[in-house]
Amino acid sequence: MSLEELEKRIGVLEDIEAIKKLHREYVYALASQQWEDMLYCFADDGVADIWTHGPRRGKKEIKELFNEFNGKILPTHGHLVTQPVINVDGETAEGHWILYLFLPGPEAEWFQGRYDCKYIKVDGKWKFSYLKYTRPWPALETITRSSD
Amino acid sequence: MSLEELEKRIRVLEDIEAIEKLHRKYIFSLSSRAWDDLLDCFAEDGVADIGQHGFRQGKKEIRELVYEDFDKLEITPGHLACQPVISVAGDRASSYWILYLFPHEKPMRWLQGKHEFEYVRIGGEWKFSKVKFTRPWPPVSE
Repeated sequence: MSLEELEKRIGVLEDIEAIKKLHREYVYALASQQWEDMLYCFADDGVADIWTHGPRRGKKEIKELFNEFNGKILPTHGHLVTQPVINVDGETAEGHWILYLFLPGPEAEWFQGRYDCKYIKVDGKWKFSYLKYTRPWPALETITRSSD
Repeated sequence: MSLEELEKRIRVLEDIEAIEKLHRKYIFSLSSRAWDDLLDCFAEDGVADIGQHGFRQGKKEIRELVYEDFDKLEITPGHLACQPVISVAGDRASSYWILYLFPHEKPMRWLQGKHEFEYVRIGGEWKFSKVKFTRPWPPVSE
């Protein structure tokens, strides 16, 4: 085991940690409707494909998408992103997470969704190159026992 | 600090990361009813001791548990595993986690349980040697 090999292994651990941080910062910004901070998490030509909104490419289109969220995501909504599974391959990485959405009463509700993401290191900083959010996840037909 | 000592310390961090990943793969496969992926998390002689489903040892018994018991559940609730506390000792490891279950019911309710797992490294890959799920946790006295 050489010093260079060891440095590479530490680099992967640091990258995983940095990607977790990026993704959690994004969700903190989402919960507090900090649209500019959310935008900052994307690479310039990144893609956001969120729920039923359709894919948007590049910061201009993603900014327009976030404008559509304005007034729909409320401070009373809970956002819990968890269970990251991240694989790093040099300057790019992939990961998936669960996102729980908690809506307040009088009849509290929860929704389970999933993030599937690609990340890219730009000038030493990890960014989203692709972010997909699917809800409900799993699709209801797969979590319900078939009748036959 | 020698290179060998440093390598040992890095390996423990890598192992913790790999064990968290394995554990999450289990939860993702449980949520999406991907039973073969779930079985793949277990060592050949692994043990599953899950709530009221009783004690099962070995892949054959665990396969029965999954395909006969789990698959009969009408609808799979939300599964949220968090707060891992992982201890690694060479090729063995142990952990505990909180597992929240969210049934698909109105009004919304949640159930809190505890995972107590043991892991073994086989051919460089971590697998479950023991899976224990207790609910409710902490125990509620009558």
